[in-house]
Amino acid sequence: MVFPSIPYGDTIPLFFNPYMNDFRRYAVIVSCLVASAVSILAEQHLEFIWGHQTTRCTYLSPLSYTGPGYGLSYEWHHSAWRDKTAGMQAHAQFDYGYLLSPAKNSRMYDLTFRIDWGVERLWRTVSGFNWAIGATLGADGGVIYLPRNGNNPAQALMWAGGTLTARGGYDRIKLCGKPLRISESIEIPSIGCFFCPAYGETYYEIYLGNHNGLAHFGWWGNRPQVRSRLRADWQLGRYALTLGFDYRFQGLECNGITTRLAQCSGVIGICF
Amino acid sequence: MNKLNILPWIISILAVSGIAVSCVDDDRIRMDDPIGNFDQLWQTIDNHYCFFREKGIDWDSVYRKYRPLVKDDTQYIELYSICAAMLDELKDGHVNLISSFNTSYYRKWWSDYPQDFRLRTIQENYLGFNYLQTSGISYKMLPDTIGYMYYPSFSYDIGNLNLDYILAILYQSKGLIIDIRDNGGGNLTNIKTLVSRLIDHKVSGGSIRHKTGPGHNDFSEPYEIFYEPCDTNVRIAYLNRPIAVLTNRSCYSAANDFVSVMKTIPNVSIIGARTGGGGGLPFNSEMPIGWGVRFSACPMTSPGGGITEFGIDPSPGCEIHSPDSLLIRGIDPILDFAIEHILGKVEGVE
Repeated sequence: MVFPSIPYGDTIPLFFNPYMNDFRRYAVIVSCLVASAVSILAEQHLEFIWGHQTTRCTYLSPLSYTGPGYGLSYEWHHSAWRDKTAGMQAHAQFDYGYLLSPAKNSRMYDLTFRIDWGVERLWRTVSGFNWAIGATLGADGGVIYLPRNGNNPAQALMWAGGTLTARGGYDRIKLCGKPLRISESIEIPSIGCFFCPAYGETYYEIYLGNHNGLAHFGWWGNRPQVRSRLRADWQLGRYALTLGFDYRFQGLECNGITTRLAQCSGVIGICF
Repeated sequence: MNKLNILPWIISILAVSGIAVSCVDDDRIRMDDPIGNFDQLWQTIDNHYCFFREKGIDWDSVYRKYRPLVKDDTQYIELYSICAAMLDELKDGHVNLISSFNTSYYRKWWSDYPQDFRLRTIQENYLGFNYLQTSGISYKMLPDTIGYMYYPSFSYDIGNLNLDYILAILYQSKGLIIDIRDNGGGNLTNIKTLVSRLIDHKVSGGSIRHKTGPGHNDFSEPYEIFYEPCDTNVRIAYLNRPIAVLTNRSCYSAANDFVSVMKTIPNVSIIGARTGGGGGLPFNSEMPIGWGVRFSACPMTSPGGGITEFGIDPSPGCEIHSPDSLLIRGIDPILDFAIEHILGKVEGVE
């Protein structure tokens, strides 16, 4: 093995340290991003989501399963530029669904996550309205699991790509003398790639090594997704109490397989 | 800006989300709709079942035969009987209709044939109720230094260390008998574990295909399955000695696939009766009424490309049967033949 020549006493730039392996390099980058998110003055939401979910995945079953869905969401917005007309945004969310068949004799579970980071352009008006449009890059994934099935017990969900975002808010409302801000944001994952097995392909065959045709180009036509968040942030001192309503819809139409997952949820959290 | 101006926003968002949720729930069949349930079962099989062509089944005519039997007022158990009878037309041991009171099962693939096996006869007369057992495998060194192992189900996961011990204890044998009679299948990965100890080079294990659409002939190209030999620096292998695999009609599914692979290995003889088949990897689905359905969905072929759904014949000259009349007297002609066969091969080499 040939080692690069580094003089004693020199300072090696962190990201170009040849002795740092890829994992450690990525860990440093992610740590820096997280640290910047925490340290920079920014608006952050930490929320618990609880709602009703309906899921249908024809790879597993032709039936729609329904039941409670729970989630934990973290959202971060930061006005990065001096004139506060542009900013960064990041989202991370975990969701869990505990669902029941129409005959109520079979359970389905789904566990999904997503993580996005992006930028946005901000506009503020003197009338109290402010709005923003932006784009993020990110990934989501997870699994829908139907224990009743033998060789097709689960459908993996994987997506990586770009998302268009838009949000608007109004902050001139008072409730009990405290500022109340109403806001709505919509995120539409638009272009990317996703995983989907063939119509009747088992994961056993994939495990054996047949990886042909598993990755697909995704757009609104075959992977329609939308996430909407309606929020009311009631400022109570340094923190704000957040109450809201979420809905998310995640669809997939590929290889004759239809997957649809929708959830309407109430939200409670804090904004800081 | 008036506060009320926000209200239409909120109403619109709630309306859109309601529409989004309703998009998901497009099952139009009620639980208590006998005709809808029957139709959906028929459609599921029509879209996913993989052996219509090989079995010469006209699924539309099956619909015409059974659909008139279902009426709006058909009762729960009667509907089950009609649906189960329809599925029996597939003549497939991998097809089940699963309800809370019964699991239908097409039994004729084995019930119309002699059993050729009695476990008690083996345990009492050949093993003397004195044998070792691990990972579900019973094993012993028989007289004439022939190794014997009985593997009753591929559902028993074989641990690599367990297999090391089995093969170490039987290592000095002149030949090995692997008895898989009455093995109804199980986990395909156990085939890989077992076969890897019996080969010294990469072998083909046949191929698998999957449906690419709902049409009866919508299949992918075959994907070949390979088995690699184990690392003999780490694991114990059993090589270059005669091996006999004992089969009967009740060898099904994964056991059938195991026989399919073993038959291609030069030092292996398949002895006994034709296997039961089960060459389609099953999928599951379900009906609105709550019943589950299982069916063959991914056809598997032998290394030679032949369909394995209808069973695999023993090696030439090795078709032997063990009638109940002899088994009850403590004689197992299939096992006796296998012992003689191995001894004959060993003497032939010497």
